[in-house]
Amino acid sequence: MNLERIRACINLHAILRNLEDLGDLDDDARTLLAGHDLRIGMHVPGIEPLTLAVKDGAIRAKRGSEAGSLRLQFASPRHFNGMVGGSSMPLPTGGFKHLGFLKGNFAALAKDLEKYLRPGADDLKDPAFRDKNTRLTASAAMYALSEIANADPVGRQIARAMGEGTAVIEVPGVLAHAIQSKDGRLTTSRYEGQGAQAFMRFDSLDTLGQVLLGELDSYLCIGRGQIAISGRVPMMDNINKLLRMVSFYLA
Amino acid sequence: MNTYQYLNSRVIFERAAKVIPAGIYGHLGPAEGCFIPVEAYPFYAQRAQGAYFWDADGNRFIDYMCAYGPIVLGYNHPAVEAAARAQQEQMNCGVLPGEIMVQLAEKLVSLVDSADWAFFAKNGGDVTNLAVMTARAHTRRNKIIKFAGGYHGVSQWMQFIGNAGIIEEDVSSVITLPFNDAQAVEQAFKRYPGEIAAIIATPYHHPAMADNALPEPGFWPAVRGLCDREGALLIIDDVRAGFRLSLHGSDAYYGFKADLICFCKALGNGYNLSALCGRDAYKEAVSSVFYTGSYWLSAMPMAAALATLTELERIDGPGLMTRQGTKLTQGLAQAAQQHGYHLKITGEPSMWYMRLTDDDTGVLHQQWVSECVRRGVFFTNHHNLFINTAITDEDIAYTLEVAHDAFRALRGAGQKGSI
Repeated sequence: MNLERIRACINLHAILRNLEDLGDLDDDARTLLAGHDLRIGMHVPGIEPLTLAVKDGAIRAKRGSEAGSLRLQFASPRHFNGMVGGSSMPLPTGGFKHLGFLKGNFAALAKDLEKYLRPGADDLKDPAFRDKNTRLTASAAMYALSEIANADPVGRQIARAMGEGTAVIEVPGVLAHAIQSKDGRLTTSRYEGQGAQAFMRFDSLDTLGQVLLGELDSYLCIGRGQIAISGRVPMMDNINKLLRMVSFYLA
Repeated sequence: MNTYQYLNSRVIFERAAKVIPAGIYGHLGPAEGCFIPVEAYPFYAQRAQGAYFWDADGNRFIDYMCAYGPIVLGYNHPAVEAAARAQQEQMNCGVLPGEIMVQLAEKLVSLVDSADWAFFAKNGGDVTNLAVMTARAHTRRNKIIKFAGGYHGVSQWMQFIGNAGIIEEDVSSVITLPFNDAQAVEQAFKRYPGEIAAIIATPYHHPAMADNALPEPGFWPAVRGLCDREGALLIIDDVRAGFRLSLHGSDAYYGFKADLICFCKALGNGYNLSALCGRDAYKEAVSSVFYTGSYWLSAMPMAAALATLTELERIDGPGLMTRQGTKLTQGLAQAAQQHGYHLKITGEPSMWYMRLTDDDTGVLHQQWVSECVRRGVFFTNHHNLFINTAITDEDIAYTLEVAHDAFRALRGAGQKGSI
């Protein structure tokens, strides 16, 4: 098992992808994005590229490569993981006119994201901060779940056992992620409200946040009705197995 | 119909939350037990009698889970309780076993076609695990075949990769094949010549959360023949079905003979006991396995088991449960039809599985089952259900009334868009 590669998949398609959500949630991020129009392509050997399209004060993340991007090439998954961890730099191989954005605004965005994903204890006392922390952590976990299911050998076995269909993890009216299982591969996306077979519903964003932070026991939450599972239970059972693996990889 | 509230259950659960993992862990708990939606279900029982139990709020339920199988004659059956009490007054847990152990083994050997001996333990998983160890001891081979969805307990080898605490090495010697596919079994023997110690299977396929399947004609004779040809043992996990289909073993019921057969659940009508039975050829192998437990030879559950088997024989328990199960399942399916739904019944009538097929998610079925529970009929939505011999025609009639009312509630909720 190539742990560096799996971590790189998660860092690319779950953590950096999260800049999309950060741009939607955070005023500081929107300010950093305002007035810019560019695409940043992240290329890691052996992993599907990620394109971050910056426009109108927002970021949209998309799998795959797009022409005309600021192209960031990494020598290896280890090199890419090093950049995410702050110990190495990418090699720009195209779109050099956007290097200023990369070094300035993009670096600040990444720092902003890190602040929400690795908060200090005091940060979490602020309800507004905690709200964003929960949304961004949930998003990272849901996208990481699919990466693990597609890249980790045990994750692949779990994904194959899931059967085809869509599982939804949501706080109704607040946030909803869909995890689609097809041909033994999982894909995470925002849930649009139709076509799912299994459901995990949290009664509030606060409950979701406490579960993600390890402050609440999810099994007790089920007994208390704070988490409601319904529909195809085996599918959700396998999602739970993958979520346990997410904790390991994101720790 | 009135629907139940569970205030005391919730108060107790909050106390439990402080001192017991998950509040209630395992299959009796709200998570593993698939209490969906959770507010429809009681959490704690206060007492039980015959076909019923009463929860911590005093609500009465007809128990179609029969404690997940053990209650076969109804709760507190007088003959079983009298035998258990009499044995308790003599001795229960001691430094030597009682003669009752021999009497019970003699009874099993006389009743069960494939039993030349009996080895006692406590839970079903104790004896499925022992069966596999015995097969490995006898054959000196590693690999085990099981069928996808089959449940054989919670030992590591019986679990699945990705389950908490399970590592790949735990399950690497287990080959999983589709039930009713003798060709797949033959191919596995070809792929692993001389490596397969045993096949372990339930007599018919009764996985949770999936339609149950009876053995197709020719399946068991083919598997039996392959085991004989390849020198592998055929282990029948009769923990769930044992004594609900036949007192002679479910292998006998389906017309074949196991090498080793595992019993638990119905054996003691709620007293904790399991038994591995087998043919003479494997008696030395099972003796050679290092396997024991502090309470395994306790006498009281053995007295209860002897009384249970005697009573089941006297009243033809399996026949009675099959008749009652047939009446009930036909009534439930008709009730569904009258309300415009399709309730699919699979498995054997004495321990049937059911699901509404009108949506592909299971949500509708979960909702209907929960409406039955709120009205005093304890079904689960994910598992096969069970009949016991205390369930009367009146109980079945009441259950059907509840089923109709639950369908009406379902229709009403659907019209309001809340499903």
